[in-house]
Amino acid sequence: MHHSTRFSRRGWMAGLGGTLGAAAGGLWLNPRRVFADEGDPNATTDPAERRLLFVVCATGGASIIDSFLPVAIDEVPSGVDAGSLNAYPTDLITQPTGSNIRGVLPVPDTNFLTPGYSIAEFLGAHYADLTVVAHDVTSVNHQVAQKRALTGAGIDRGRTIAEAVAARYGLDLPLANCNMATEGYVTPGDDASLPVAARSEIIADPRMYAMSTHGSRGQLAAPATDVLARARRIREGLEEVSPFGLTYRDAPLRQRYLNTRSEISPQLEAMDAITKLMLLPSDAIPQNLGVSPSPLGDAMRTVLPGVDRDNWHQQGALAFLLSYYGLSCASTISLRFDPSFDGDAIVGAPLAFDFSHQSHRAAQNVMWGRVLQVVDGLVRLLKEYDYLGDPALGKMWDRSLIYVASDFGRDKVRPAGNDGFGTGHHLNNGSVLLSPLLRGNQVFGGVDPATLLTYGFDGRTGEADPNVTIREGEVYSVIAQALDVDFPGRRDMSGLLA
Amino acid sequence: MKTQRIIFPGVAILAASLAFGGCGDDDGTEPEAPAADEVAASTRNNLVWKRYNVIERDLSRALELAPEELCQELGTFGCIREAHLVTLGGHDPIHQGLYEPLAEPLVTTSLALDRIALSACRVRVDLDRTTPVVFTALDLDGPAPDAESEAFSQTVESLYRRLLSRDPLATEVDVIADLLVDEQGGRVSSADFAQLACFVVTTTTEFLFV
Repeated sequence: MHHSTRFSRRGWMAGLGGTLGAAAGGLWLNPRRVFADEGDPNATTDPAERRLLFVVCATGGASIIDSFLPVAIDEVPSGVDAGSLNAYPTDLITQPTGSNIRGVLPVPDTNFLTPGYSIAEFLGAHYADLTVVAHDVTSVNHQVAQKRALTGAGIDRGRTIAEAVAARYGLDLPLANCNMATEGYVTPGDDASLPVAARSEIIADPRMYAMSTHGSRGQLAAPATDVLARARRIREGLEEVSPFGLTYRDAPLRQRYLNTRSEISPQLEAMDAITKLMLLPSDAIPQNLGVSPSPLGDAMRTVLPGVDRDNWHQQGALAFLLSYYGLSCASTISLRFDPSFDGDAIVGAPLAFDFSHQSHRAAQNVMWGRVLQVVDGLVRLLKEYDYLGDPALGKMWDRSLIYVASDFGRDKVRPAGNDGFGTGHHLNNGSVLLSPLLRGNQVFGGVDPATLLTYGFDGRTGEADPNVTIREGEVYSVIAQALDVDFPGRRDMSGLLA
Repeated sequence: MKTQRIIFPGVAILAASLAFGGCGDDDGTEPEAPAADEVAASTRNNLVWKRYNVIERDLSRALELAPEELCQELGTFGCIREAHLVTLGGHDPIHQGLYEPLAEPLVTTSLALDRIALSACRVRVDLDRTTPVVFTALDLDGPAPDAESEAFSQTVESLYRRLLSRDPLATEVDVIADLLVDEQGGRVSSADFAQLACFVVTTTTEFLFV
């Protein structure tokens, strides 16, 4: 950035042209090369090696004993008051033929919540790919617990698992790590050494995000592409001669901004991300703007029917599109705490799973269904589509892992015989994972029918062990090991790998 | 306005401004630009990202447009406070639970700013056709002026004063003169020049960071 000679405009522009030309020439080889020398020595930019992570956050405390580890009332040992435990009647528990995992059927009373997709539907369709991990967490504060669910309570230098995957596989991707989540789930990790390219791109509105990926298209009377490109080059010239630019030529914040503007922004425009990621239907886009819906829009609507009206479904759709088109390798989505409506029906509880404070079973049952509908959609899409549309790279599913994270569990007790009870937060819980890279149709750990507390397992063998407590760091390690992300202190969780 | 601009960037930029000869000469000529190696790089690089509300306020004031006139996405969504709020450093506590604004710009921040600048500048140009406010020296229905003309230098000076609160350096005026012609050297329209000159100044890092 230091210049040793006095320069004229013409001379400067000639030099700039050369610089930009060199940058453009190398764009497709390694568009984020300015960042690529940072971080993990095992980082790869080979699409054939790339793995894909989808973190699906069940905000508010999704209880595993209300979904895939239910205990039946008649399984509670004699001498224990089953009516005071959150145990289910036997006829509300299902276990599909061939499944090693059980699930809770739709409960009869969902309060004012409108049930949709059910746990049972999901289990029937996906039990073979389902991995249930019993574990505890270390906080019952929402924001703290949410962040620890993604950082493994800080086991990997404070990185979130999405940041770690992006640092391993996404340094050449323009939007390697996209986060549409809420509260603690949208909070970045704490590793200051994380490569810039692995930092999360925060997405507030998945429906409108495509518009952010192009500097002009869709704006009325926008200049032609070549005219705008030339204006941008001239702008870079101004940066180099302005007193501000010269004075702050070494300012890291400004340098990073300029790097992104000159390298990533053109890449996003050249990839036509504005079209590929556009979730709005054609009738919602004025025809004179040159903006088109995503070619996969109808495919999204088939498996995520709320794409046109439901932020949760929109998050799922955008996560898939970002991965399919090679823009991202790690996406984080979450339920939000505000209620969701479908017409007059309340399909998403206020406070999401945390509505369990008021109405535990209704909130858990309806919200698990809501979460799993988007997971179902993702799995179906990942199994249907070749990665990057290239049959040689195989189905996206083959390289994917879905982590259904939550804040914590819920109380295991209830007022005797009461089905309309509320619960507080509890450290004890479990998580759900889906991936061909893991042993599916398996529960790792178990649940004590006398207390409804889950217990852990031996990570090397996968054998259940009531004396073992698994925590966030082990869950993080399972995901990292399955996705071949190494870090100092990673736990050996080989027993869970396929 | 000029006083604020000098105060905000702090000591380093003040020193740089003084080194560059202040804010214009009394005889109307643009200040001379020093060579790059004559400008000390700041050792206090604690720049602050100008967030959505300041961008909106500064752009609105500079171009004398109401905030809602600056930019709309798809003719429906406000660019700054709706479509690109978080991208521009805003927070979204109600819907996303994003209680604190982001520490640094996102990948898409520069693109969002480009969109807003293009829109706001075009709106100003269109309004100035009937009631000139910013581009008072230009005939917006004619071709762009000559680089040596008073109309050109006055336009650039107006943009710098309105958007960056200072006068342009001669080298900066020289760079912007390239916008008067297209890639093939043909003269562009005055309206296109006005929009693009406004765009490049608005989207410099000097506008975005303080």
